[in-house]
Amino acid sequence: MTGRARAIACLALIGLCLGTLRGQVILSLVSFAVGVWMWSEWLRFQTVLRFELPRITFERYVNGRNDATGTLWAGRPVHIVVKASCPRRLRSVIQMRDFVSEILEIVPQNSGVNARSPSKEAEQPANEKGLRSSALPGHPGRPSRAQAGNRTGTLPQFKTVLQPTDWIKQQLTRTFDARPVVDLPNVGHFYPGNTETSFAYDAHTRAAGRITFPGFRLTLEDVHGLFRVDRFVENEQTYRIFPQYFERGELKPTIKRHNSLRRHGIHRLERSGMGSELLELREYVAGDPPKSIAWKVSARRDKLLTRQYESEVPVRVHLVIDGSFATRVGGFGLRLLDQMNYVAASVARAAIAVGDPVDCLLVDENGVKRLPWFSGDRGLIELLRALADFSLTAPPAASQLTPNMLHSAMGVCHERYPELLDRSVNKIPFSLSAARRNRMRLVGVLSEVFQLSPREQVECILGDAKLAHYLQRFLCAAGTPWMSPVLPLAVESTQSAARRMKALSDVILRAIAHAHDNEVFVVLADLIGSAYDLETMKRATKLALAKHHRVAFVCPTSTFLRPKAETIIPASESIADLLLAAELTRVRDLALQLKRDLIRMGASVSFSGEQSAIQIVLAEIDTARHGRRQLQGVRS
Amino acid sequence: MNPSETTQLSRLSNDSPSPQLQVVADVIQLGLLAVLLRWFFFENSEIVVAWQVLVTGGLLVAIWRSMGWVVLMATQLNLFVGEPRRFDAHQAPEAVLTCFVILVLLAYTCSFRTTRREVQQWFAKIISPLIGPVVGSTIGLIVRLLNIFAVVLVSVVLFGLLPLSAHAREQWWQLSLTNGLTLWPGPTALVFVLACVIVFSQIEWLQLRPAEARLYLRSLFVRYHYADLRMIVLRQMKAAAVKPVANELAGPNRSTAVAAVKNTPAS
Repeated sequence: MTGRARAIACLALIGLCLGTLRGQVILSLVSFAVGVWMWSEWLRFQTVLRFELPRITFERYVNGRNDATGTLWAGRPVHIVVKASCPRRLRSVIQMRDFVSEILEIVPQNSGVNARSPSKEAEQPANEKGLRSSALPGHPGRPSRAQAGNRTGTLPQFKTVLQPTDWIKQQLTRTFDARPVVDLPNVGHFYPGNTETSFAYDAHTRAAGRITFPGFRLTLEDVHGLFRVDRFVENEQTYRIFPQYFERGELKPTIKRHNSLRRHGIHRLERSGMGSELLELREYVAGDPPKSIAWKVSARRDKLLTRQYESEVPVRVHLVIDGSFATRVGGFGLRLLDQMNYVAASVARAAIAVGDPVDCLLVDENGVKRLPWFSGDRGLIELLRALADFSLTAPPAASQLTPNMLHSAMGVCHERYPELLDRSVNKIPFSLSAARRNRMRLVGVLSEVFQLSPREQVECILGDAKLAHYLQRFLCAAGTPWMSPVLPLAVESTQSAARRMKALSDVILRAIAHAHDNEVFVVLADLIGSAYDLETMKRATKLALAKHHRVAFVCPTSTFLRPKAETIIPASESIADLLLAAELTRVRDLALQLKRDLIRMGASVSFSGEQSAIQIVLAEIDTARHGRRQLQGVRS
Repeated sequence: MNPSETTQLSRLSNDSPSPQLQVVADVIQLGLLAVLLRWFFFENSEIVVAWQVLVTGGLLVAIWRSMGWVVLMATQLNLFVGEPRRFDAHQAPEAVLTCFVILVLLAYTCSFRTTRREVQQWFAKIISPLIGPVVGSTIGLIVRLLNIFAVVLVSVVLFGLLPLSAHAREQWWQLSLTNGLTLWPGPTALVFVLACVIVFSQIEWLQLRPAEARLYLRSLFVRYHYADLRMIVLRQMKAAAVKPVANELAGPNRSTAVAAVKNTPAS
């Protein structure tokens, strides 16, 4: 029952009482008829709710396909079309909202849902279609800092100051729709008298991982706006989001100095082998293949000479990726892990494109996952799939229960499980406090989602720790990133940073033990967060370099800015700018110190997750191939 | 964009009339409403014209903004002030007509958004028959009017049966007296209501989805046993809180320390 229905029912009751008491029959009859009319409308609404709504079918097309599973790419545009159809003409108004997790950034659009026409789409400039593609030159899908600061989930941006003309427009729009207009692109309406409807919206994936479209939140309302009910219709589609990579020009083969790998590659090695490049001529020895005899030279010198060819061998690249707690905190697309994924995918693609195998070592709190060697296009896809799975946000360690966490979980419940919040289904014990009642109702929903026993349910009602644990799981499952409210402002402890560095060092040492010759170790880790615990890492690096391997460190920063030596002056005296300047200064000091230490040892370091980091790593790979930084011995 | 989506959009764009026609349809609708409101509120009235225009304008704004409660309150107020306390039998058609008009007005106001669009389309189809058949829209509007008329008829019948008017009250007393001093139709109504409750609750239960049914049963269980469960959980939590403290205190005199902790009053 809506507020309008309550007001009308109240007036009808008052009118009936007054009319009966005063003996005014028409007043009584009118008031009574209004009550009967409302009752008949309720019956009709219930009929629609019980029998018509279940017959409505929904289909969602993601980039033109409505498969249950699929693949998307981070940073690339996604076009989603939702269609609904009903076997009979609809008798109520249905508002449909496609439930989208935060990993998808919906592109705001001014045009209404069904007002979008093909001509309008064609007129849309290309730079508007790929809104985020031009955010940063080196990283097409990454939002700029300004965008990151303005992020407000999937809600639209509202103007803070309204012009008079805007106010008039708003009022006029309100009169048309009689309800506040929420111009969300992922919302559509099914109006009475129609048998089918559709709406479409565009979005961008923010980061690698996985996205699940669970279904649609429906708000059913009768044509008179007297009754309203919220329901959720399941229509699950799950897509794995591959990390994006930087598309570099074609890499050319180079000379490799040493090799002990048996695999075939494309880099020339100045040792005899089965390559196509001539290394030298020598006298024929019994057993040499006759086709390698150089007949002309043999005739000139009057003795049999045979051709020796160079070997063609690969360079192996080890990607060591730190997926610990510190790298996963933050909004999707802004996490350190997202930057690492971008660099790792770009490096892997560049290496695999020239036939170099790539190994991946994924390190997090749960241990190390060593992936097999990847090569070829299929190998690249396998690697990207592994990175996407690694980016999934498992629930973090339990933290304190905050009011913000409760509030957010309640909001998700209203969106995702509206029918489970219904008071007729979700019965709660008596309590005078409204906050307590809300908590009990929320725990009721959690008990159904996680299949809790009654005892666990009461534990959640009475204990904050248990409730915080389940709320974190709940919010993570709904696609909320590791940031407030899932996690309060968290600073990694010194002990855990030391443990993380120890684990990474151990992984590198084990990889060195299995390495053959001059191979490339690309360590993507949050070094700044554990800048004071790098002794073990330095030892591992020294060992790698002593064994003629190449080591490159990529350490992205949360500010997306490369630390510079200049003094940082705040843009203004606002708190945000002062905090940013303080953070930049802290990062700069740590980064410069780290860089000095690591470069002194002979490793390369990049404190960004952008194109420059990829270039540094590729330069290290080139060095491993031919021993010098300049490109030499390029086969024309 | 898929071909079917384009078809859908083009179909929608064909259905909506041109802006000029919409404005004309709106003006006609509002004009008719103004006439109706003036007839209903100010027939044979001696109120100043400016006041009449002001009230009519206010009601039109309320209708435009779908504020049904304002319209209902205005009509009730009008009846409250203007209706005589004595009701004659020859006023029955007038009462039915008034009731019907008020309900139509109320329904129109509440569903102004959709009805306005339907009327616009209906009007556009009348003006230019090429847009589509006008019969369907007309039938739709007539059916809705008939529904409201049926509601009025049911209301009149029920109003006559229930002891709301003086005449119905007398009749009700007489029937109760002749029924052996049992309030008529007490037992019949009770059985009917009980049957309705059982049938509707059964239908509601059968309509529940498995998750809803599970939650309903679980939440009922917790509600009934909340006091016991609360006691168990609180005791468990208290024990869990005491254990670390007891371990900390445990030294040479562990049993004494644990006893000391146990004796401390619970917070």
